Amino acid sequence: MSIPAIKLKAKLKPEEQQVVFPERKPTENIVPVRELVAGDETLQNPDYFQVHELFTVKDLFDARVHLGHKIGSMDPHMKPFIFGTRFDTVIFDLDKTAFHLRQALNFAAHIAYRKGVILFVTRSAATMNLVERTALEVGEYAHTKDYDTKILTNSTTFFQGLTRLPDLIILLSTLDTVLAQHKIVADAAKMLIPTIGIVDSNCVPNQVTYPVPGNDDTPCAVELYCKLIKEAIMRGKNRRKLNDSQQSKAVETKE
Amino acid sequence: MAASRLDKIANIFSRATGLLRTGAVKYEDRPIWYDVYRVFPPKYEPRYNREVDPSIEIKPIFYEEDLVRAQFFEKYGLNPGGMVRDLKTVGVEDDCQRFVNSYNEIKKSNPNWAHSEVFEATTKTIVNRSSSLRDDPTYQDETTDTVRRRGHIRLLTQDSLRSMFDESIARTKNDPKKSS
Repeated sequence: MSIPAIKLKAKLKPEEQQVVFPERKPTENIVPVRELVAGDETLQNPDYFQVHELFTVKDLFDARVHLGHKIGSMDPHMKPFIFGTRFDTVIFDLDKTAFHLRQALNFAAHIAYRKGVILFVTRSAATMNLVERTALEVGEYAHTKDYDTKILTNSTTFFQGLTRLPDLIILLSTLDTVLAQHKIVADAAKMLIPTIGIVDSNCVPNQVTYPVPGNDDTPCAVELYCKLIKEAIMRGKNRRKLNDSQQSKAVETKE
Repeated sequence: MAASRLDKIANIFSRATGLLRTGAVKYEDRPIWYDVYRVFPPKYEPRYNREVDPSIEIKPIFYEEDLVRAQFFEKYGLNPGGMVRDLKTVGVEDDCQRFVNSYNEIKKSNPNWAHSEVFEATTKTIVNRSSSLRDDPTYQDETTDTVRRRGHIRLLTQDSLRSMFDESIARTKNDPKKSS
């Protein structure tokens, strides 16, 4: 049995060697930002729910938000948020923390206004009860026990039925154990769910959508975060109630 | 949603945009957060492999009054009086901070005094206010003994440890039962 000779292909011409990508159409399926903002009153104001007035930098300092861990345990991705080290303890720049916290609170208020489902997550034993209580008070959900990755990525099988996933995940601590990141951070990124997370100096802020650099261990700091998040969410919800009632009244008067 | 589950590539917004652009998901069915993210995006792109500017340096923080703090701790030890702190309380002022505040006040009212003079004056004023600082051996006061006897916590400094050690050695030498 003879092996058939392989025909060698002639060399490609230079114009054939170039890879031609199909031309990407302009975003015709997506409404331009200008139209989007013009049609939505809440997006016209940079701080529609006035979350900037909820706290001051002094409040953060008094609650010991500025205290990080020892410099040796610092993650290099946290560098832009850090003010310096005081005897090898990392100190956060509270001006930056305040900026990121306000951005996160604004986002949370908007999601609450749009009737999104919000999930509070932590694994810190000291603040579990506080976080669950906060979720209960704002009428949202909490998951503070051992996390199973199927809850988000295979929810239909796990809960035996069609499941609505959360629209926003708020992590009061992004760590699962002392050294490992909570798996829900990666899972939320997989399932296209935005996250707000308090990241301490030993955490990785990259995959968290709205990272807030700050102390996540001290009870009084976590109490402050819970208080602020609760207030922001309640503002969004109350605004929604007000607008809905005004709309229904307008409809009644027309009729 | 029919999104790619490769969470380490790009970010959630660009992946959602891709779905909407190709028509895999209708614009009307976009996630709730999509509009908000579009108008108020986070400062840093939430990408797994986002890199940090390597030129950022982390500097140590020092203050002028650290000299006073160091001398205070040298004299009274760390955490004089063995204070227990509740981590839930907000805005705690400890003995050292009170000392530094008092030092600054005295220095302001007497700008011509040298550092050692101000420190001495501060020691005299502050010690009268705080019972935990009275164990200082240089401080002469009639009430010191009673305070020591009444207090549950005895301040452990290098000197007090040595005196306790010497006392116990002397006691074992005098007591023939224990030494045998």
